Amino acid sequence: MDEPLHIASLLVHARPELLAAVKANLRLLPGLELHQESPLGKMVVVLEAVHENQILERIEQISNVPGVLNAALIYHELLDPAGDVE
Amino acid sequence: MSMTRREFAKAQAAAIAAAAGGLPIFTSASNLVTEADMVTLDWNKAPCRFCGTGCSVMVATRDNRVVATHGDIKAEVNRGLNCVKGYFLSKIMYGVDRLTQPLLRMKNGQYDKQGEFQAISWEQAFDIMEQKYKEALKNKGPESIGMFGSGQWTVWEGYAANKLMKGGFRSNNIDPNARHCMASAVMGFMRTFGADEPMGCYDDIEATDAFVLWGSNMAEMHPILWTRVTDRRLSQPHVKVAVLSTFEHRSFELADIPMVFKPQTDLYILNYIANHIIESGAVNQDFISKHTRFAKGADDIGYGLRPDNPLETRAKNADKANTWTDISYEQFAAFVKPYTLERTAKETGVSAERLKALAELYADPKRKVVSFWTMGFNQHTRGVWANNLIYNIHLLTGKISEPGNSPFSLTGQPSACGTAREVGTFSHRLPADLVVTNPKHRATAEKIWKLPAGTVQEKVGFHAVQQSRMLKDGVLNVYWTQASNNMQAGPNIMQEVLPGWRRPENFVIVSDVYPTVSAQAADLILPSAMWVEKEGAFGNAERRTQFWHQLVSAPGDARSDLWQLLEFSKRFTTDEVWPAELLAKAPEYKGKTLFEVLFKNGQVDQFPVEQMEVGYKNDEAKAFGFYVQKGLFEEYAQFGRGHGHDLADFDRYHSERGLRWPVVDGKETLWRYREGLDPYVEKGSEVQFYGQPDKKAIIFALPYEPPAEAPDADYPFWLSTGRVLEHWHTGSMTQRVEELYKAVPDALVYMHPEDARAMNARRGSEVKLISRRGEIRARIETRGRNKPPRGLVFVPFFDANKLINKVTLDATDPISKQTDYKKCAIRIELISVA
Repeated sequence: MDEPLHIASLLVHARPELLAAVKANLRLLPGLELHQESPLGKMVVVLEAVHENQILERIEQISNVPGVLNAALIYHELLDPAGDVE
Repeated sequence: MSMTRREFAKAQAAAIAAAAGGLPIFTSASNLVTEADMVTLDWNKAPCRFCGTGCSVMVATRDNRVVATHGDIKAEVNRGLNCVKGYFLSKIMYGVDRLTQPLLRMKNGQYDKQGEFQAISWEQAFDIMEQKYKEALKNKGPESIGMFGSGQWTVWEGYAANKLMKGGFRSNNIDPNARHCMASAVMGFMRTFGADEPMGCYDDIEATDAFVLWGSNMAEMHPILWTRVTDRRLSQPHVKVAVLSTFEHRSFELADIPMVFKPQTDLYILNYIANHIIESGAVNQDFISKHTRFAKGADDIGYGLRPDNPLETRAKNADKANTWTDISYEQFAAFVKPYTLERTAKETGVSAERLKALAELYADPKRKVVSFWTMGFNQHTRGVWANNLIYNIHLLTGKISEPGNSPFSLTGQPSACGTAREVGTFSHRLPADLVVTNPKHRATAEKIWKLPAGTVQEKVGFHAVQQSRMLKDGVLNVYWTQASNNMQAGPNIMQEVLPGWRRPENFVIVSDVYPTVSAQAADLILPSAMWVEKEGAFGNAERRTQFWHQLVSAPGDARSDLWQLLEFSKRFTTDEVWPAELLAKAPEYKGKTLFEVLFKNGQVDQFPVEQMEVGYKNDEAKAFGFYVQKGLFEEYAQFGRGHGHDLADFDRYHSERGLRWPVVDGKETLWRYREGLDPYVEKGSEVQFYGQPDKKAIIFALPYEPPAEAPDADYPFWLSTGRVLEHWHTGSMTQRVEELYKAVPDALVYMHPEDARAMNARRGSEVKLISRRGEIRARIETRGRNKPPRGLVFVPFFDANKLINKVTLDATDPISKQTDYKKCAIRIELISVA
């Protein structure tokens, strides 16, 4: 793989009663993984993207999922292919 | 790319997010090796450059360039979190059109107001400035020069500017852009408590049982605090959230009690709640009898327009807006009695059931309440009243100055509190809540500044909106702006801002980092250093003072505002700017430059460069030969130490994630005015609002009064302006971050779909917004993040290509002189359906 890869993590808050539906909707978004959750409506979401723009686009999409209250970007890293050792 | 490296990075990202969110960290991810790249970078802390929240970020530099930032896990404010703007902080300094040389409008090698911008040296830039200042001072005196500064100035930049203007040039015509943002909050605090800034702090979020947002869209404007509010709401199901606004926005998604009210009718709601508290017997009688008194404020106070405007000539008390008379509790109760539930529901358009639910949150003695507000209150022709009225509610119930009970005014700029307010860069203020109109306060300033008695002028200078008007009228002739963009942010641009800047005899200087709308309208542009290109200090909304070191050098000839101010002060001697009788009182200053009198005065220059922390740059210390920032800070701190505004020693701030003043015996103060929490409160007194002479806060009787302009047959829509998450204020920094620009490139007209349909328009249609003052074109959005009710549109002001402030009205609160950007009347014409 020659393209750089962006990895970002978010803390997402959702209405607890809608958590199941929110999770189902989030899983439809490309490059998104659900890593952790609490029954209180907190989720750790990890994003993979080839371009930084996609991260913002994804955050906007996450914010627009019904039941999502907040999406806060926590961490971002650029995995540069140059540093790759197979 | 190897799967292991990819999985490893994802595990690390997830672990950091889990830690920030207080979730347990999976063992597989908890024992991580730092990426090789991370250790080759030099990491330092700095407060974020944007809003007033005051998040701390870790900043990575390599080869004199900022290469990465992330939320500071050690910071109490943001606990490792970052919003998208903070996330892209590393890119704000590297826009392709960064200013790196002074630029002067010239023709045939000479300054010419109609000329084109040409690059010149700093020497030439100061030459023309010196000539213009000296001409103005000689011909018309200090009233003809002015300065417009910023809540984005560092503490010492604001202090140096304030001292140069008020103590050097003897002109009080200095005002910050915080006038557009925080002035109503300031006057609210001063009238009720006699002392500026919140009593509580962000720790209230985790201690409260209810949040009420009054005209604040925290989800977009203070996203990190909103994360904390959301966390509190979800982890404690008994916690309730009420959100009030004139249109529905993202914060409504968390609301248990949502309310969209008719513009200006928040004054009804505030008085109704006070009435409900009284009628339902929820008044904390012990608290109000010991710690408050009652007053009736002057009413019919006008709208801060030009004095010949019919709205001003008709107003009975326009000239004594900030006055009041004592009344009794019974008189107060009678005053709010007409603000019944039925009447309030009718006037506001909000259901009685929701209004009552809101009032109950405040009235319930078992429920702690935090009230948050921002521009919905402050940008209001009765903004000071709105601030006073919310304090009424917290005072009547005694829900104040203790963990979880907190009326909290949020701020929009990183140092609106630290610089604009605490340093007193307003046209009527001096540091530490002192004012120019009080002879004792002027004497204090003159003593600390070692200036002869009578140096500081008594007359209040021109405030922001007045500066624009006086430039237009030719009263103000030389004008220097720093860290602000008033040609985009000021109200009624075409009628009241641009004409003054382009008036032939006026000379306007703009210091900035990018060619903003203001820079392009100026005569001389000075390139500034920004953020970590200089050593700095900001003060956030919860009284937290935070420092950072200079981490990189500014590009080209860009220099910090501090350097610009000090270097320019060398161009004037006391004989040139002070009258002979003043100079006669201080003969030792005769022939000295303002630089020598103000900054090489034995105080500001007392710390040698050797005292700087090893390993950091400091371009100003290098230029002037002493530790300028420390000298200015320590002189400034004299104003507040021992007077309730105590700041810690300079050096300590470099090793802390900020400290909340007053810092007494090395300890910060989280809640003011409460015994046991605030060292200034005397033992046995429980509570003391010590900003007031009798230590009692004032509960104000203030009525509903109509807005300056409202929709009518010709201009049937309300226009409200504001911000969006991705861009900060006028967008001069965030519009240059490619990702943020692409995410939200243009300002949109947020509109109700039925209103669009009624004019045969739809989402994406281009329309013209027209007021009595000007017009712009923009596209309609009917499905976005903001959902206005019928009859109201919302347009953000970040977009330099769609200057919505051509349309707005320059009506201000008559007490605070802050513009109401939330209410004016417009009509909308369809240009193309699309």
